[in-house]
Amino acid sequence: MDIWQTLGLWIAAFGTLACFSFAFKENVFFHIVESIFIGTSVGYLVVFALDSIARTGVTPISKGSYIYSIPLLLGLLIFAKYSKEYSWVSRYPVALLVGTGTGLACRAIVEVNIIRQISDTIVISVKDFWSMFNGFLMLVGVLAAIGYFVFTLRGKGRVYSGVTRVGRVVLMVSFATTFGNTVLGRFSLFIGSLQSLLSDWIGLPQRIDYLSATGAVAMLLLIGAACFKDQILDKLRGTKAS
Amino acid sequence: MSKVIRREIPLLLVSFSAILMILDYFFPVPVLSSSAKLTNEWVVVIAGFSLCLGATDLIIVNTRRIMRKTPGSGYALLIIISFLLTLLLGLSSPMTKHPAFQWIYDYFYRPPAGTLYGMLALYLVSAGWRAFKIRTFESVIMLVCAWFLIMANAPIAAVVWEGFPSIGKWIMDVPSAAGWRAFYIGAAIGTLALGLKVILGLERGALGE
Amino acid sequence: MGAREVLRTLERLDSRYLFVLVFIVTAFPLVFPLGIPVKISAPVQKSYDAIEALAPNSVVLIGDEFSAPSWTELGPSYIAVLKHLIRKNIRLVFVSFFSAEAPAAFDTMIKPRVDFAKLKYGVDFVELGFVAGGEAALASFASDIQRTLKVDRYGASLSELGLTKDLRITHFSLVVELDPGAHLSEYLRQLQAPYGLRHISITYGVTAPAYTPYLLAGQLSGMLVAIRGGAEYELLIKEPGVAVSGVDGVSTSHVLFAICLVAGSFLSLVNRLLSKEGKGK
Repeated sequence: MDIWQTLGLWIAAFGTLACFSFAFKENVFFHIVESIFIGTSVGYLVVFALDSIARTGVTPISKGSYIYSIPLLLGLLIFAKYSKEYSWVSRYPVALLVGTGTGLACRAIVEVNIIRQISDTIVISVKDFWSMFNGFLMLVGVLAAIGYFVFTLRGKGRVYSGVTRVGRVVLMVSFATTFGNTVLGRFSLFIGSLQSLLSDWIGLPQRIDYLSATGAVAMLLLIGAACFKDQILDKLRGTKAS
Repeated sequence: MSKVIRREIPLLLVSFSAILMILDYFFPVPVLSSSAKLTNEWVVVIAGFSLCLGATDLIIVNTRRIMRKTPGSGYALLIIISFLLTLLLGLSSPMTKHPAFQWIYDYFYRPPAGTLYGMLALYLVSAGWRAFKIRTFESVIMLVCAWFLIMANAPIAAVVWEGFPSIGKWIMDVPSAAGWRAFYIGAAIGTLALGLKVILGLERGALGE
Repeated sequence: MGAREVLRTLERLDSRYLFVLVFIVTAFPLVFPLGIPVKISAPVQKSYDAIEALAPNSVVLIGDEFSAPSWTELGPSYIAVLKHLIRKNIRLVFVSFFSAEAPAAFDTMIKPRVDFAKLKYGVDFVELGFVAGGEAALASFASDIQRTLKVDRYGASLSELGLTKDLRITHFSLVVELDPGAHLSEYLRQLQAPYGLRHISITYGVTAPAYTPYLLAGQLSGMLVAIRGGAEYELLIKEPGVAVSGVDGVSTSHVLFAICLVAGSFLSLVNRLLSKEGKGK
């Protein structure tokens, strides 16, 4: 492992611990890491956006397709929004973005989100009892949940309130599965951060890098001191913590 | 005249480009196809510039904070320095592939990126302990389904009882999928309605009006 | 301290104690691996089968929307799928439309972990980089690849690379879409609806329930979800990696969460009943 990789691992470890420390108490190290993260993330976005512009806009012009100077000019006009007097100029490129995006979204959404979904709902497999039962349940569930969203026609009576009640229950189950899977997702990321500390840096479980382990303890003490510096200073001065 | 140039022509452009995309999909006419392709390619170029808008706002806001010496202006300076450093390294040759550019990504950007999202796991546990209160029939349903799904996602649950993955799969494939289907159908109808409003010029929010 | 006081204190327990417990419970299996067996789920098996069924030299489009925040959720699945595709001599085209940082993430997190050495650039795989524009870029790419992008990530002309010279969207046998930002709908609208391309999604946990209807309707040929999907796929290709070593943490953390969920609800219910009883007296 070279010096830059080792240095990088230590910096990464400190960044990870500083971010975790926010869960316990806000501190200066967390804000430093957060600020660097914000700056670099926007930096990466801009770099690759410029790379995209270069490859899709500038390269064609260099190969003789001068018509691409029009979208380059339109793209620059987007920044006119910062001018009070000429902000209306930015409406032209935005109009193209909005119109194209709207058309692209609308043209295939019927097939993808309506036709295919409805056809899979109404076609009930008769392979065995459970397939039929599940298919019927799916049909009832979809109809009830759609019924819940019909706000323009508010019916009265037991049938209607029954349908909306079932619809609400079905939607609750959807929220529950999203919640349950969010737990899986967030813990996946949490485990990743722990792995980068424990495995990539300290070397567990195969071995233990004592230097990194000592470094981890030192970083935790440093970050802990930053978190609770007021209480520590008060204790040293012999006064009550505010 | 000024109103036409400032408002009406952009609205016409929105309608025209939207209709062009839709017609191109359903009618394979060469003129429509080549116009749609050209429009799409122009949008790809323009979109690159729109991504830089956020960076411009970031610089303006943080520069103001530094000039006014507001609390936290030190962090604003750090944001701008790290942005400019990343930008310079990214644009230096070879563009987007400089070793220092990749090094910063791997050791300065990736760790906090994963950790900040991963920390939500801690707050989820806290919310599960404190905020999840059973008050109604629907909340009981939600708790039971969420609980079974959480157990289904844990490999150890299948070792303890084979029913956990089966029940979890059933919940995902039947009632949950039914709810999400309803969302998709409703959202698709909503998208079409909004698209129609955009095409007819009734929805002007996107143009900053 | 009476029982009621204990119950009230527990209900209002400082979250930081819970955080420490979460750290210990999740980190324990990373230090002392438990080796809990992982059952292969149907969506992951379907993904594996879909790739197994590909003929050698088929071309697969990788919708590389990967990014740093999605490392453990998508990374292990991504790496395992790439290893499988490379093993089957499938030609790969990498491109991203929604994640600007994807090329950087690919360079730093994926390339060091996947052996591209035996592949020839331009013939076996091509990196097209990030194309701004989202769905518009997808649609433009699908209608004409060489017109949308004249050059690849490294500045080489697409008309000079063997793989991309005459490449059309209909030449792709499969699309593997990495999905940290819920963009599967855009891929289906622009690639599947008009051209009928088969899709596999490597997705976040939070979006998996939302994508199940697509899986059931046959619009998705397979789905890998978070670190669990990655672990299952690593086991299927018989190359355990990051996901298999981390998935024990999923077991312990989820059991803890399930206990917290039930205990927290039980505590609030009991305290509510006890306080009603107290008022009644």
